[in-house]
Amino acid sequence: MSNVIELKNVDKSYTNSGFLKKTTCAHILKNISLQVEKGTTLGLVGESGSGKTTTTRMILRQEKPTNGELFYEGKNVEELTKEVEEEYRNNVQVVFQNPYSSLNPKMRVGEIIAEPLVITGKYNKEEIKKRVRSIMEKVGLAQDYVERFPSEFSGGQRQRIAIARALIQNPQLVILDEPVSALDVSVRGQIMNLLKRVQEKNKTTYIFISHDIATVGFLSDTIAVMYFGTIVEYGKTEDILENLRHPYTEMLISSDSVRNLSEAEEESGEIPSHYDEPKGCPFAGRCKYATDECRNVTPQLKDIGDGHKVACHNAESITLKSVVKINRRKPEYQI
Amino acid sequence: MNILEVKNLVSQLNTEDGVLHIINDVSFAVKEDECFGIIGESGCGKTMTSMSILGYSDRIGLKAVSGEILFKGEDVLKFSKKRLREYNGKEAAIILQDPMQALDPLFTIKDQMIETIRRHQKVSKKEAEKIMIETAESLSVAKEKLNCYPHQLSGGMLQRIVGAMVLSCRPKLIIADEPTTALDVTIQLQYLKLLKRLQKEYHTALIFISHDIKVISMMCDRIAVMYAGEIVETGTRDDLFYHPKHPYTQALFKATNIDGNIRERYETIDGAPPNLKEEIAGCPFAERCQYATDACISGKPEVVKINDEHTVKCRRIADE
Ligand SMILES: Nc1ncnc2c1ncn2[C@@H]1O[C@H](COP(=O)(O)OP(=O)(O)OP(=O)(O)O)[C@@H](O)[C@H]1O
Ligand SMILES: Nc1ncnc2c1ncn2[C@@H]1O[C@H](COP(=O)(O)OP(=O)(O)OP(=O)(O)O)[C@@H](O)[C@H]1O
Ligand SMILES: [Mg+2]
Ligand SMILES: [Mg+2]
Repeated sequence: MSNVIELKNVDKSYTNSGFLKKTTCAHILKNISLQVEKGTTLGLVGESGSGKTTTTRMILRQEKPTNGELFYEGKNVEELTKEVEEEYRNNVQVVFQNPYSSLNPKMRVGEIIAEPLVITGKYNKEEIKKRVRSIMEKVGLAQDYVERFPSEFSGGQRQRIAIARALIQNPQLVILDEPVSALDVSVRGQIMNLLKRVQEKNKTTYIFISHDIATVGFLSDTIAVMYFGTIVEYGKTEDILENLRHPYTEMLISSDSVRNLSEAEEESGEIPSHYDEPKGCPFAGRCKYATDECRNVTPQLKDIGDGHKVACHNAESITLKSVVKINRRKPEYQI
Repeated sequence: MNILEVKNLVSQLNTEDGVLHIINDVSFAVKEDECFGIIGESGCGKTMTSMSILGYSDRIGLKAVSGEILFKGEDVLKFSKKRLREYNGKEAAIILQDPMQALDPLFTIKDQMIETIRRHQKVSKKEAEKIMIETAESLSVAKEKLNCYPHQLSGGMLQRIVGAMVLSCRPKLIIADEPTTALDVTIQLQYLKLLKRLQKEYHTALIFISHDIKVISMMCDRIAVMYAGEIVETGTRDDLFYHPKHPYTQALFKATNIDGNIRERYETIDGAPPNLKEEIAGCPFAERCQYATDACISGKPEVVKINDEHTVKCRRIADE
C-alpha cells in the first residue's frame, strides 16, 4: 500500500488585521488527517463552508498549513528535491469549483487544454494536437471549439474544458472540486464513466468533492465527511453510506432523499461561527441526539473498527439509518 | 395572468466563424405567482434565453432576428435604454449561474449588497442593512461573513450571497439559473424553501433553470424541456414526469438516477447535440433519436397539443 498524499494533523487559520479594526482569527481547518492510496478515490463531502476547498488548497500547495504536515509519496513536501518538486507540479492537476474564473480568458480553448502537455516539453505539435482532439471528444466538446475563448461557452461546457485540461497528460493525482455540478444528466454520466475508465487504465488517484451523494459514492473508495473544519466521519464508502455512525452524516444523507419541500425538516439551531467558536461538538447545536457532554467536550475522531472513524460521543449508543443503497458490486451469481 | 410571454423568439450570435443559431423559435409563457422550470442539455441555450428575457441580448452580442418577449404586455426587445435600467434588477432579475460574475472582488459583500438593495428600493442605509442581514441569515450565511471579500467565502456561500442579493430587491420576475449547484442538500432545501416562500409572499414569478430533476420537481408547477435552442416539450410537472412524450425527455429521465442509489455505470444518451452553425432543417434531436424517420430529418415537426398545458414537438406523436 502506498499513499500518494497524506495529511497529518493539518490546521489552517486566517488572520484578518484590518486598519483600525481589531484583529480576528478564523480557525478554518482543525486537525485534518487523511490518506489517499494510489489508484483510489477519496470523496470529500460536507456542509457548504466546511473546508473542503481549503483542504485541497493545502494539497495543491497554494497555501501553507498553519500547523501539520503534508506528504507526497511518503516524503514531506517541505523537503522535496527540485526534481520531485517539479514532478509534483506536473502530476497534480485540478478542476476548480468555479471553472470560469479559473480559465484564462485571453487564451483559446485549444491552448488552455494543451497547456499541461506543452509544459512538460515532451511532445511535438502533431502529438499535442492529436491528444487535444481526443480528449475533447471524450468530454463531449465539438472539435471546432478549439479556436474559441472561454467566455464563448455555456456553464457546463466550461466545466468540461477544465476537465479536459486536467486529464490530458494522464496525471497521477487529480483534484476534482464539484466537477459535474453544471452538467446535464447524460453528459454527467459520460464524464463519470470517463473518470472511472481513466482511473482503471492509468491508476489515477482522485480527490473528489461533490454535494451529490450518489456521484461521490460512484467513484469513491473512501469518504471523509466534513463539518465546520473537522472530519466527523471517515471510512470506506460502504461504511459511510450504508453503515453511517455520525448524526451529521445521517442528516446529510436523509436530506438527499427528500422528494417534497414540505417534507423537508425545518432547520433549527444555529450554524456555528468561526469568530465565536462553540464549546464542545460543533454539530451539537443542530443534533437531535446531543447531550450535555456533547455541548461541553469536543469529541475526537475514533476508530470504531476496521478503519471506520467517527467523532461522536454517542457513536456506540445511537442507531442511525441510511437510505442509500450501493448496487456497485456485480451480482455474485454471474460468471 | 401571464407576466411573461416569449413568442417565436429566434436569436443568433455573430462570431468570428459565422452565424450561430442559438435560439430557434422559442415560445412559452410564465404566469404571475408561478414557478416555471427549464431543463435541457448543457449548451442548449437556457442561459442565452434568460439573458434575452432580461434585455441583455445586445450586451452579449446576441441578435434577436424575430419574435417578441412580452413583459406585462410590453416588448423587452424594444425597450429604450432608460426603460431597461428601470426594468433590470427592479422588475426582473437573474441569479447568475456563476456567482463571481455578479460580484466585484474588490469590495466587501456587505458594501455590494447594501448598494444593490438601495439601487432598487428607496430605503435608508440602516434599513438596507437590516434587509441584508435577514436575507443572509435565512440562507444560513453567518453575519460576520458579510464583512468578507468574495475570495474569503466558500463556493456555496457566494452562491447564497448572490441569491440573497437578488431576493432582497423583490423583483416581480426572478430567473434562477442553477442557483444551488454548490450547496449541500441540507442547505439546498433551506434555500428552495425560502425561494418558494418569498415567491408566494411577494407574488413573484420564478423561472427556475436546473439540471437537477429532483429539484425541478420539488419547485416547479410547469416545466419546459429544451434541446439545441428549441423547446421540445412543455407541460405540468405531472404531465412530464408521468407521461413524457418527446424522445429526448424520455431519454433524459431514463438517464436520471432517480432513487439516488449507487450503481456500476451511468446511463447516457448516445451521440452529441447538433452543430449550431447550420440551421437545422428538421427535428434537432433526430440524429440521436431511435424513432427518427426521413421526415424527421428533413422538416420541422408541428407543435402537438396533448392537453391544455401539455405540448410536444414530435412527428411521431403527431402521426398517432
Ligand atoms: N482567505 C480566507 N480568509 C478567511 N476565511 C476564509 C478564506 N478562505 C476561506 N475562508 C473560510 O473558510 C471556510 C471554508 O471554506 P471552503 O471554501 O473550504 O468551504 P467548502 O467546504 O469548499 O464549501 P463549499 O461547498 O461551499 O464550496 C469558509 O467559512 C470560508 O469563509
Ligand atoms: N460568445 C459566444 N460565442 C459563441 N458561442 C457561444 C457564445 N456564448 C454562448 N455560446 C454558445 O451558445 C450555446 C448556448 O449557451 P447557453 O449558455 O445558453 O447554454 P446553457 O443551456 O445555459 O448550458 P449550460 O447548462 O451548460 O449552462 C452554447 O452551445 C454555447 O457554446
Ligand atoms: Mg468549495
Ligand atoms: Mg447556462
